[in-house]
Amino acid sequence: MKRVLSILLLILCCSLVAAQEARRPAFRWGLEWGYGVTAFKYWSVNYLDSSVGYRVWDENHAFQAKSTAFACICVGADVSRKANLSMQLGMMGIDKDREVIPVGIRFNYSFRGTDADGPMAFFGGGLGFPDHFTTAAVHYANIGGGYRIRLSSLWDIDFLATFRLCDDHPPVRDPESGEYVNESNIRKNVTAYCSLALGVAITL
Amino acid sequence: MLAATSDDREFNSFTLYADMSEVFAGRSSRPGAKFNFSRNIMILDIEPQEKEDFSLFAGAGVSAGWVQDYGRQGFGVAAALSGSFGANLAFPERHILITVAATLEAGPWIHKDKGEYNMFLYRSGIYQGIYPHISISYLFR
Repeated sequence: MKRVLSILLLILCCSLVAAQEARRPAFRWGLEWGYGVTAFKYWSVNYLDSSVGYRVWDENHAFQAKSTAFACICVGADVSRKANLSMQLGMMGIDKDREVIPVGIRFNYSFRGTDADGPMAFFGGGLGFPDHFTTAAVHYANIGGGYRIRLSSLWDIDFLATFRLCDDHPPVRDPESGEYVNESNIRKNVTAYCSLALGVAITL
Repeated sequence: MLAATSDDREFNSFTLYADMSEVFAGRSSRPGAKFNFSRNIMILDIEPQEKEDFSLFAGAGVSAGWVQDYGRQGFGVAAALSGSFGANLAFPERHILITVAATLEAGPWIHKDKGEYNMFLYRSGIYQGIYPHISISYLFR
């Protein structure tokens, strides 16, 4: 009887060990691109007009439809059977004549597992580095969802919808002179965007 | 749309594009439309690996459309000869084909300005040749 119980206990222990065996993180990399619309813009600008010596203050918001696009490379790892953490680097348009180089992270949760077809949700954020005018980085955060199709044991394709919030410090143009205001004369320059984007990601 | 010929190493492609180049650059809010026909030949077909089938192809064809040109205002008619080089990654079990290709187009862009027709070299067809395009297609068979 003791022997039977010992054998049963050993079998149970083996099962528990097998169930709790640590999953090695699966390294993934991919390419993501998409098209979006910047639908809402808020700005607050305060600068000194050096030609006449008075301060200009402009604060307002507007609903708009400015087309943007993005493309990025994603590198990450599966932290669990359903979750993935990745870093992104690429190019992203945030408004008319404004594009940045985003560097960010994203947490992705696949409801049926990262290795299966099914819906997914994600959130993330990071910094965007403009290529001209100012070195101040753009901050962005996004949230969204999508659907994954498992093409093979190596390839996946994701169809994604993203809502993005972004704050920027774009060049300020004086409406009367048409010239860009010198950065040393700007006391406050904050612009925020809300955008919606549809994208596709192919991951390996 | 891709249509294979009786020789499986050759296939025709018929593609209707929304020309978004000036839209993505923020210089315009309206896309153009362009059609391309290309006769393609598979130059390398790797034996099917597990569930995917990889091949390289090259082709030549013609393009025509109502599009904008790089650095120019307004829409015009573009008519060009095209050359393509790319790779196909097919997943027959999932009925999905992913194509990565670069296409160079050379031809005129005709634009009407103040009642006069002007003809220019279609710059976008050459500049966009360095940007590969990725397409995702559904395989009916």
